[in-house]
Amino acid sequence: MNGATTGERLELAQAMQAEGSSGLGRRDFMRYAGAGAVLLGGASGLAACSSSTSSGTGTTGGTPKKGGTLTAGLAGGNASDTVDGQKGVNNVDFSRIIALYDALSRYDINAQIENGLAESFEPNSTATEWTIKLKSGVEFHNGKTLTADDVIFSLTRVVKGNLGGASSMANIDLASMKKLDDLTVLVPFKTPYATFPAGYTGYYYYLSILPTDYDVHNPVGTGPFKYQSFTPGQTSTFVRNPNYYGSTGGKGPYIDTLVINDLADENTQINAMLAGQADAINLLSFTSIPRVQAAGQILIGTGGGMTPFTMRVDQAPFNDVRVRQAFRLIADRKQMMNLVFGGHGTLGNDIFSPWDPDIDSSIPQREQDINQAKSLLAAAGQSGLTVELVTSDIAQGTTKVAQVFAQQAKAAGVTVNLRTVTATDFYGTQYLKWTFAQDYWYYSQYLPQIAQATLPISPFNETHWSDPTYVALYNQAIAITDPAKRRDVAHQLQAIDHTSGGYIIPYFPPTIDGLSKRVHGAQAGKVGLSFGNYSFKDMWLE
Amino acid sequence: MSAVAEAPVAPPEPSAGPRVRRFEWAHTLWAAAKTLRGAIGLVVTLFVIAVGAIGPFIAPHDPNAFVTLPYAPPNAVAKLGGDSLGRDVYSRVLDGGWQILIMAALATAIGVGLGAAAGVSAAYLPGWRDNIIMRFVDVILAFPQLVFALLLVSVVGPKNWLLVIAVGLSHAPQVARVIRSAALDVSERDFVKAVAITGVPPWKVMNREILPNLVTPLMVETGLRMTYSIVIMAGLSFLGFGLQPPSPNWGSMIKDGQGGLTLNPWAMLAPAIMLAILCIGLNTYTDAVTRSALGVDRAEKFALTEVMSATETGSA
Amino acid sequence: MTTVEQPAAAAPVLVAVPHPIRRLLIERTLYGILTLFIVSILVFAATELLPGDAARAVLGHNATPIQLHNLQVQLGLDRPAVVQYWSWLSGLLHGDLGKSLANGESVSTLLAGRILNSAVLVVLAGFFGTVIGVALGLFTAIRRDKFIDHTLSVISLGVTALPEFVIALGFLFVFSTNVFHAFPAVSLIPPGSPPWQSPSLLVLPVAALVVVIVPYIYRMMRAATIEALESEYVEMARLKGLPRTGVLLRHALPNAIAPTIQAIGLSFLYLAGGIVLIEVVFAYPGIGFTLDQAVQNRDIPIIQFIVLLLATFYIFMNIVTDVIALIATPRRRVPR
Repeated sequence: MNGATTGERLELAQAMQAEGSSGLGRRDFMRYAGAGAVLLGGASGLAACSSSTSSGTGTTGGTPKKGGTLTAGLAGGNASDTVDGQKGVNNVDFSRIIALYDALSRYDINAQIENGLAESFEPNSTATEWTIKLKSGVEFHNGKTLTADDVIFSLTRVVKGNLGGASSMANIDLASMKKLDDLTVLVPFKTPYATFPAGYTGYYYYLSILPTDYDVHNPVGTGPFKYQSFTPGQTSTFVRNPNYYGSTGGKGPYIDTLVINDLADENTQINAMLAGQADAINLLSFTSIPRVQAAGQILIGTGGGMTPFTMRVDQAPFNDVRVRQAFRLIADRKQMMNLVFGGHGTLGNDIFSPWDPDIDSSIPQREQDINQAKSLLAAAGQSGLTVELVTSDIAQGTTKVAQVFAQQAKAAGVTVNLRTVTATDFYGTQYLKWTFAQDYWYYSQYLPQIAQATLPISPFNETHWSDPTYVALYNQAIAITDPAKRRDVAHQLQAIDHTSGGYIIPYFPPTIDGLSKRVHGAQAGKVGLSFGNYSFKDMWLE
Repeated sequence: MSAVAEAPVAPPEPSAGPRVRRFEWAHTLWAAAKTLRGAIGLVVTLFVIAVGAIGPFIAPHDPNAFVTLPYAPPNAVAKLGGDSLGRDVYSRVLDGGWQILIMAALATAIGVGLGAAAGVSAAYLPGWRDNIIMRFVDVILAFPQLVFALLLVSVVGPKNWLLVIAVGLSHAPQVARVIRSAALDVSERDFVKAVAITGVPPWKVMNREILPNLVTPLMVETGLRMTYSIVIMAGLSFLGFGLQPPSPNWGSMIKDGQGGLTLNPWAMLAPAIMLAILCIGLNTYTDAVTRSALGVDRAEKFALTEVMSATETGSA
Repeated sequence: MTTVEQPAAAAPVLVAVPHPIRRLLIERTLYGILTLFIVSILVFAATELLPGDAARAVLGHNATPIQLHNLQVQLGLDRPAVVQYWSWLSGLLHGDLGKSLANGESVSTLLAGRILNSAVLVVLAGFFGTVIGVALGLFTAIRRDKFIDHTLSVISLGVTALPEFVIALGFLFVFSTNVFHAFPAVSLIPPGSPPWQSPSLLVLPVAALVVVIVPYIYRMMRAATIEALESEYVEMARLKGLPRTGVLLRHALPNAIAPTIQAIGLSFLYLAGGIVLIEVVFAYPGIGFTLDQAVQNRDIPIIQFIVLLLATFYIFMNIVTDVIALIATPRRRVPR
């Protein structure tokens, strides 16, 4: 699906839904998919995928106008919000960090890597050293010019402080990192790391570049907006950065002031928009689409972050690969997407990082196959299995998807008992130790995601996957600097993931956001961050 | 926390004389059922209990099966439309009562049992024991009932047995207060003192002489506590700390349905209406029972102080 | 004439006590402090037993074990329980309410606005509830056993039975989302601004709370007024030919006040408990809503503080109510 246009994607999604879903007639789902947005019963219906939505149609086009205040009412924040460019934890943090700071590289709205503050990344022949050239003339908000010193300071801060982005710099040779000239940094690694730019980009909002004299109480960055005020868990106010390096060519930021309010939940967000108190609201459920569309615009990103089921391959019953395969066949992926996301999102095939060019698109899409699942379970001696699934509201729809899966499992004779815990408990002492649970990942490229999740040394190896062949292939891949050759090895890794891995990835959830009528310039993205990577800098008000 | 001198009304007097009329409580219940209010309340309550008990067997669909679209309005497949995942609201409503009813009944039994034991002991046993028990009672009474239950549930997690115990514990102090003052009355009577003098151990006196004379207040308390149990269970489920998904129960269905009010109001209205009429019916009947036991005006005042539940009738 | 009915033969005969009000105040206050102390231990113990890791809640799921441990030390979570309790308690008494585990901000800063928001709800609901309840009580006492009296009695019986979140949702349904669209469905108080600047947001939550407490006040007022009207004292006044309204206002009402004041005081207590559910329904940013979220996030200092605050309010209102009731009925200062 790489490079498909929005129109093509829409049609594809509609076609998939038109095939119908277990228990529901084709006609029912034409209602959801229907072009022309047929409404269900009465004035309130669920018109999904109608042409007036998504990818910013209706919001792009026209000449950007400068000025005005855009107020965002975002959910997902709490009293632990921060504006430290390297210590963000939740969605609202990231919206602020992306506004205030920049990174060496970042994702564009198609989840492909684009340069940020870096002009180029050059590896040496063994991929053990990367030379990063910075763009010249970039200024921090206080007028100081960006130099290599700031980059060295920023990367050191992350690694020494063991901050969230440190895992993507795991093998860095800090002592030998040095400044080659004012705009060039040499970043050495102890072992080959051919995928460093991808690894960095996957965590780019954890790896902002900060000035050497950075003070979080008066935060300064190179981003499109400048800090004015901030109350964690409540609100923040930023103003336009007139010297933003990315404005060349008539690009944003356009708005004068960006206010980001923390709102408690979806109901509050929608009412805020209806009352004119919020121009941008994020992370809505699909059932809210009619209400929001009636008063504003809907932006639907197809998403690339995942909320997989995780099975521990080192514990019964999932230590038997046949059980894992059976569970993957139990899932009716389209039904999950339809019931929980109104058909939005992207179908998953148990392999992560769908937008990575390294993904092997020839691997056939897995479908529900209850009979095969039953025979696999019987062969493994696990007919009539009972398992506990730990679920939590860690992301949109996770607890609902868990209920759907539990219901689907009955057809295969499997009893899934749900144990719902709070997000805090989920990430508590048992995190990464649950036998069968769900989890939530932001988007990364394929090989960097392996580093995070499916190697024995991975910091978040929740499936406890440990396969020497797999590890050898990975080590081989990250030493290859030629992308085409690396891709071949990546395909081999995917074959293993697809056959015997510990993840069930039935879908990639959509991001459904709302905008008031006066907002233009917003585009839906594929990374799984709202507003196309919280790109407030591209929005203008009419 | 003594309310000096203000004891708006005494709890229902135990019957005069050393013996209780056999099954007096049954007579009171029946007399209440013959009044207009009592009859309506009883009928409504029994109806909801019937729905709760029989409902799961007559539901047209599996309450957890996905039969229609999320929040679909009433249609051919789902008489009351779909809930947030497209499950049949009608079937879920039929299946959504029995758990709350059983757990509320158990919690009430625990609460009244513990509270009565504490109240009678405090009334009858001498001096410092009374103080200790009532101080303990005061501590628990320092929290709003929901907050207390919430605190306990958040410590261990929303397990069903814990919900029952938490709610039961939160009832006990209030029951203890009422029963204590009723028991004080009884223990001052001559026949009790006469038995005590003969050297019968205290627990036997409490069991055989005092308790049987407290049947009426116990009955009234049970009815009131049952109403609260249901309300608190539903409230906890509404907040997400009660019965867990996907189990259908009226409290969490109400919460689940709130998100789709503009699409299919029945997802929220149906369980809310069932819960509402259960509460109203039970409360109406309990009110009729109280009136039948005490007479109208005293019943009125008793009910008021009872539900205020922070007054103390004559202690320290 | 009062509505006291002493349990027969239970009260011993006591001598008249000098300065009964002062004595009551002192006794009850000391006693209340003792209770609060025990409550604080209970709250602290309960929250310490909470499963789940507050440090994780702060750092999020990307936290490494080293980060977690550092934060735990920083927050003092690795000290023995007794030490933590003492440090918390002594902090409280010095006005230091601790820091929220979530972001290190002091609890008092975070909660000041929310306490104000809830206080506004409680005061408004208490005021309107009292006015309406007293008026209804008087009205129905005069028109006793007439149709309107019976109707109101039945309605109030129904209303008291309902869970308050059902009442709140009922208001939501009728006045906000489905029938009329007169009021916003959630409380969108802009952060940092006081609630009275957005009066339309207060209407539904306050209305729900008023509906919850009016039945008690009205019924108590009615019962007390009826009793007062039937007293000999009032009979005398009527026989003397005094006009009916005058009799009502000057002779019956003062005697009906005392038990009603108690009902009003107790209604405030009931409000303190009721705000949890009602604030959640309307997403109103008060301490009830905050408590719900704090329990979900295991933000222990916030849980401890709010629960303790509610307990303090409870005990305080109890004392106030009893003292006022005592003052209002001179004949009852001396226990008989």
